[in-house]
Amino acid sequence: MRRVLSILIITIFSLILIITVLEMPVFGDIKNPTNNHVPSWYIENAIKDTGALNIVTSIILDYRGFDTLGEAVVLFLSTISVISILREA
Amino acid sequence: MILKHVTVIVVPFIQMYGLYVVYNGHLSPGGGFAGGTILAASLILLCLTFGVKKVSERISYKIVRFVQGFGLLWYGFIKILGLFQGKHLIPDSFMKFMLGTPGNLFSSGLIFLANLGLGFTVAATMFILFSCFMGEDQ
Repeated sequence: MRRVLSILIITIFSLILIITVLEMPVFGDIKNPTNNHVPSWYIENAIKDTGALNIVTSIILDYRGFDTLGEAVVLFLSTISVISILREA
Repeated sequence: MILKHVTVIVVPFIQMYGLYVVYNGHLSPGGGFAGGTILAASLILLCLTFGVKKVSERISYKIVRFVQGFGLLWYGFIKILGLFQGKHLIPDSFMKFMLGTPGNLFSSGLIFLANLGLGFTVAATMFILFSCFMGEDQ
């Protein structure tokens, strides 16, 4: 009973995932929703706005700096949890 | 024996390269995350060769933890600096006068400083995780 139920659940979820992948836009298509004004804004104005030649750095540290702050906090919290579990002192 | 000698020779170059990647994050590919991981890799190589105990005699555990917390606070403080101006926060216009000429090492205002804090935070995180999982009896 349990095995049948688990196989059923896995089949349903993988069907949902396969349908989702089939619905996804083609990679590199000109009509993709990611091809809007935002990337061209970055490419045109990143050096003028931030002064960094590396546009990737200017995006992750300046335009989306708070996202990176969240990533650093995740690292910090993982360290704290590992210390509290594995270290006695 | 060979491993220890090669490690002693190689580790300064790895650390130099890690610092290079962190410092040039706004000019070349890389940045805080990649450079911090390279820095931590050199420390992990030291730990694997000489043992965690001997490394933690040189590099105190408290100092590593302080560096991690201070790097995170430093990054958060830099990101908050733009708030005091009351203008656009992103991109931070607080340090517009520090932008310099694009291409120089000391340019791009706060990105340079933020990269430093991020790099040291990532390096300390990797080192703490490794030394915790490795244990102290090694």
